[in-house]
Amino acid sequence: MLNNQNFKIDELLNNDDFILWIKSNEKNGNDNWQEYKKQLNAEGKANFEKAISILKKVFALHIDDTNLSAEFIQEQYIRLLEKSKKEKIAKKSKYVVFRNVLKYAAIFILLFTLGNVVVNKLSKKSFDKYLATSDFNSSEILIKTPSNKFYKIKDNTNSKWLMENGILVNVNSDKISFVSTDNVSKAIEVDYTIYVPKSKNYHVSMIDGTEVELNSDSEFTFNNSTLSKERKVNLNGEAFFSVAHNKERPFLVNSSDLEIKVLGTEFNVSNYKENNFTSTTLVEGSIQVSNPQGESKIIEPGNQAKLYHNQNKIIVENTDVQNVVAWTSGVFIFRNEKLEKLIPRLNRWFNKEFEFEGEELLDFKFTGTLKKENDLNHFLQMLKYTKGISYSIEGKKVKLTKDLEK
Amino acid sequence: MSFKKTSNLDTQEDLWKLFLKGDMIAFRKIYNFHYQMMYNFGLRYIDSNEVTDCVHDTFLNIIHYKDSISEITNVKAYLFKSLRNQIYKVKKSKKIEFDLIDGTVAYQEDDTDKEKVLNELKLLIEKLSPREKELIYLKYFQGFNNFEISELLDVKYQTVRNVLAGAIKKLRKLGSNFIEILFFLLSK
Repeated sequence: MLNNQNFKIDELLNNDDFILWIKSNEKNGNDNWQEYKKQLNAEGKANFEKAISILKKVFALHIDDTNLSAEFIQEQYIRLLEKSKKEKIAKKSKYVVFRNVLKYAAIFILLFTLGNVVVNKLSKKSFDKYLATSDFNSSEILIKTPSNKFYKIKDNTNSKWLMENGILVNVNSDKISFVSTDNVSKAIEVDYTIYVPKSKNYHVSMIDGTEVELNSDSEFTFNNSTLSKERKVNLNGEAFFSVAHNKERPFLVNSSDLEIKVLGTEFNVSNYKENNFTSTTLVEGSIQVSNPQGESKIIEPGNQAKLYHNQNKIIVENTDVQNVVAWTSGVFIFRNEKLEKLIPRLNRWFNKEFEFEGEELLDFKFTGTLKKENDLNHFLQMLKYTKGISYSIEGKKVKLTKDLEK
Repeated sequence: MSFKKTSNLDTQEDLWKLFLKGDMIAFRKIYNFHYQMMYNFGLRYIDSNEVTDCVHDTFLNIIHYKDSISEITNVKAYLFKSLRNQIYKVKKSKKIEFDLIDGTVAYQEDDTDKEKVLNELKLLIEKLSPREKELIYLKYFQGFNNFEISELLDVKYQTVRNVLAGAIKKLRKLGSNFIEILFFLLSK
């Protein structure tokens, strides 16, 4: 079909079939173009060769000579993953706003002791590279990795890296997040534990998209697998969970005496020691709680389930959700509460020990709001002017005394 | 020519199918393979900061709307098209034009010879319309065929052919040594 035509140079340069043939080094399994060339006259042949020469020169050019480094492309890739994750969360957080509006929104709290933590020895060299190792005695936020090492998360920590198994880790002073970038196939049992000391808070963004806000003086263990049948976590202290929905893989908050099972929902869990109970407060969705005796209850939004450690009964009652979750926004709301009840919370938030002169102080009742960002003095001033309680601070100790004249 | 395959087993189109099934390893390969090319392509419309954002948003959209993307015949053409659409979307209020050479040819400041030739070349290129420059670039420097270009730019196949024919004619008429100039300029 080529034989009857006599292409001009311009036409050859615009002919995809011809270009393909040149690109394949004049092979390409068809020799139509060879045949074509044979029947050309001298001028035709010269033009043909000229067209070939022009194209070959053009293809040898590299006019794209900006060379991006592999690091730059990698950074951009990480940025992409983070953004993609963030937008997923943004969709979710609409519900969080919702929760403040909805009447039926509620919560539940539970408490429990730290369950046994299975830690397997999967080496994660990358943590060594980005975080300082530590002993377990620090007042800083710590993370224990599957290799059983502790690492410090400091005020100036800000690193991100891709682990060998394709998980992207992004850690700073407020938050650690794990993002699955590739198919993570190897890791099945990969437990991490986060230790949050008094006066600090920390946020964990798990690989399944679940967000966990940890209150001061808490210890949280979670499995970072994407394959396990269940998503099991342990908590000692208090946390607010926003669980990513996945009906194939139930989310289990486990303890020695209470288990919470959810598919995807928002709830608060608390088991601080001084309370002698685990409580869980449901904001949205539904959750199932059960005790070792096999008693199990479904909780409605706005309700709180309590399990006292020395009793076997799960008590469900209506509660003020706003108050229960206020701590997640750095606010502490108390209504007609005895000083005795407030002290442990103040201790956790401000990391101070309180002493009293006079037992009757413990029965003083307070109503108010305390912001974590204000320092303790703010609260103590409030005590002084409203209740006539004086204070003195020495190092970590705060001494409270009833004013004589009142 | 720039249209290479990473390996015989994994063509970009195969990787794309895997990605549509949720395989992020495949996605990452596609990303790494095309990033530089897309970046350079984008630079011909907008500056480097804007390109970085547009490439970012292009891939972000692909991740988000993965489920509504059907199988495609040429991954590179699809990515170029998406990036180009993204650039037009972002810059909708301003006029943007394709630029074949400006700012993209690296040469030594003290190399007066090259600078001279570059200027000559720029003058030559200026005779082309933005659309003609775009087509020349896609066809000869990015290795797309006329059919792919027509898909990429959403114009008729015949239009691509005609515009290219005009551009080639112009270039060869204006500077019979156009290609030689280009070659001289960039070969060293």
